[in-house]
Amino acid sequence: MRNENNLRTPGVLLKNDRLGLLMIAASLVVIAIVSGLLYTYQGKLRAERMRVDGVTLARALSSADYSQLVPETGQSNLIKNLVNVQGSEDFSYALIVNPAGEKLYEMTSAGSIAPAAAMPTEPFAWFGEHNVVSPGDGRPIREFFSPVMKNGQLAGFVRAGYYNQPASLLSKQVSGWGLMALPIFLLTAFPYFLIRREIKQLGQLSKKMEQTWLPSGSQLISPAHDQGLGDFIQRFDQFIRQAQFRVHEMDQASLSQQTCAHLIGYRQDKAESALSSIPEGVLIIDNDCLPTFANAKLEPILGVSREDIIGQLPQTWCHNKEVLAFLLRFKSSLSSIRSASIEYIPEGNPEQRISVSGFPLFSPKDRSTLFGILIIFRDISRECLARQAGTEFVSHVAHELKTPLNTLAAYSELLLDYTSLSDMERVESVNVIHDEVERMAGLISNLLNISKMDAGTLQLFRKRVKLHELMQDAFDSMSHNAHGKGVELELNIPPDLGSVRLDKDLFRIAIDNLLSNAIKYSNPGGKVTVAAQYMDDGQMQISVRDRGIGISAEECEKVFLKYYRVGNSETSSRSGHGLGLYLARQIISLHHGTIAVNSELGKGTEFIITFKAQAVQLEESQET
Amino acid sequence: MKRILIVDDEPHITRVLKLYLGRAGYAVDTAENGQAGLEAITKNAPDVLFADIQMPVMTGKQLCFALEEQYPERTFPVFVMTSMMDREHREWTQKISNLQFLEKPLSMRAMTHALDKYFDAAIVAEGAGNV
Repeated sequence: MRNENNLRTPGVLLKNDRLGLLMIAASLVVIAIVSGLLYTYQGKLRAERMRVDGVTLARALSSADYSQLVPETGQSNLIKNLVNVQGSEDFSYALIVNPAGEKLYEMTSAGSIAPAAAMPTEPFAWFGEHNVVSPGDGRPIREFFSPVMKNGQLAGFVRAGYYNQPASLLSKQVSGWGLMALPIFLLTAFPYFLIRREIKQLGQLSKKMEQTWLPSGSQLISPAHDQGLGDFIQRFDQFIRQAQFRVHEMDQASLSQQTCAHLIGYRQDKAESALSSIPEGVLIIDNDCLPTFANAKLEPILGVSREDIIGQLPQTWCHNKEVLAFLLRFKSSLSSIRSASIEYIPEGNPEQRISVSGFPLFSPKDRSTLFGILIIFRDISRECLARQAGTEFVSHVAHELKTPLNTLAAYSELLLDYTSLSDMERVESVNVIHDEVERMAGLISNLLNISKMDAGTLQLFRKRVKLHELMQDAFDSMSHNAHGKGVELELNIPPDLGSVRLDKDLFRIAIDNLLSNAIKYSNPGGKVTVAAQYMDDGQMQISVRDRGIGISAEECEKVFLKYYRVGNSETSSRSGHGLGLYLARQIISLHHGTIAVNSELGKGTEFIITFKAQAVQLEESQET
Repeated sequence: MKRILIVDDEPHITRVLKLYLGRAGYAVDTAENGQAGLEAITKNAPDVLFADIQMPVMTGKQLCFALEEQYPERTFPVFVMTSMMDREHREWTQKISNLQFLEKPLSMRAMTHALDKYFDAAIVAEGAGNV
């Protein structure tokens, strides 16, 4: 395409030149026509003037006195004067001849010879004119004649000859014509050059337009045939259409790019949102150890704002030496980079433990390309606490199991020598052994139930249970224990409480745990009250209240947590495993009930169980 | 008759020890916690003290330190009954003079054997002293 353009350029110039030549030729023709017309007009004008001159001279001389025409001295000043006055360039000769034609007087211009001529004889022909030929050079001459009278008689004729030649190209006229032709020529040539210059610019514009085409759109533009304005307009129109097409294409491309950009932005937002939503602190560092991303969770862990982290070397924001060394390790050993993790205790918070793990971000397509390192900061305080609590729990459970075992061992050892024991002592021993076995069984049962509950395999077996009987049984089973501790038990339950549907065994565990807690944390001489009543809104409420050591407000929120035991000497001196209340709450929750605690340190504690019993009553009424 | 003081919050344990050691010929007093035990000692110092560690009001550990402080001239031995033979108890018991461990579960025969051994040695020592 480009080659064609290059080849076309000389042709364009040639066409331009031809047009110029045509215009010059046309102007020359115009000049020639105008010159021809002028020449013809000049000839006519000259002939006319010559005739006027000739007739005037002949008539003037004819009316002159003969003596003036043919003076004695042989010199006629009159003829000479008249001829000089006329000053005609074509003047050839002036003759005075007698009727026979003989010359009486002659005056000729330089180099002219007057031809002989026969003169008319008839008076009507005395005035006239005719053509003669110069005998010297053969040039045509127009001769005018008129009679010369002397004393009323014909004395002769005046003959005045003028060269009857075509208008000659005199230098004077040539310069005049030249002056006339020049504007005509300029009138054509100047606009031509102006137009040519404009067309040249249009040609350049056209060429530029061609160079601007995209290869794909070039077919739409027809090649230049000539340099005409029409062609240019056509090409310009095509160019505009092509440009519009291109603008439209670019609009489409721009729209598509915008969509792509939005999509990429959306995906990036989504990825960042996902990274931000991760409950751990997320940090991404590049190969130079400079952070490129940090999520909001990182701020509380490191105690530094994200703005201070991103793009800054770890030395400027990481105050923990262990973490700093861990981060810088990835910079120093890029070649053999691999996942690693450490644990550290933040300064100023000895109870917290943070785990830091680093994972190299290799490209999925090429393992040799490393995007950076993903660093995860995880608060593992709870896990550590849970681990610790688990260890403590095992130790506690072991102690709780050993205590009844201790009693069992002692009493069984006593019974070995039963012959020395009284009956009362033997019965007492067996009773104690029985109670302790039950106590162990209860603890093991609690552990198993919690294990089932944690595994989600505990199922409720609801049966219709008379609440009064259930509470009375629990009360009775605990009364011995309470009596041993010097605690008074009080049951405040109306006998007509009716039946409710619940899992008797599980519910009993919850009540037993509350009751045994109340007795355990009562002081000797204290009192534990168990009460139950229907509320106005159809809820059943059971309360277990003691006047024991009580729980502080902060501890109240935690007593239902698994393994949690209030940390003071009053509590630690009483056996417990931190499972009773946790299990009680789980059981009440399974019955769609709630358990709340009201307590005051040193004054006592009240646990209140609330659960819905209305549906059961309805069922009962349907059954009855 | 040698007097023995048992300090334990488990009534079953104090009860059975009292029965067994009484039969073995010892006069047995009991206390339900460290504080009660300290009061009993103040009234009448025993020949041997058996003490549990985990107790309400005053623990066995607190009782031992109170004895060290209040009775630096104490002559009777202390037997600490515990099922928690961990390092924590090993450390603080080093600071208490004339202290021995009795591992739970208790063997009453082992107890009487230890008592007999102690008193025999004491008699020998006394006898030697008299000579």
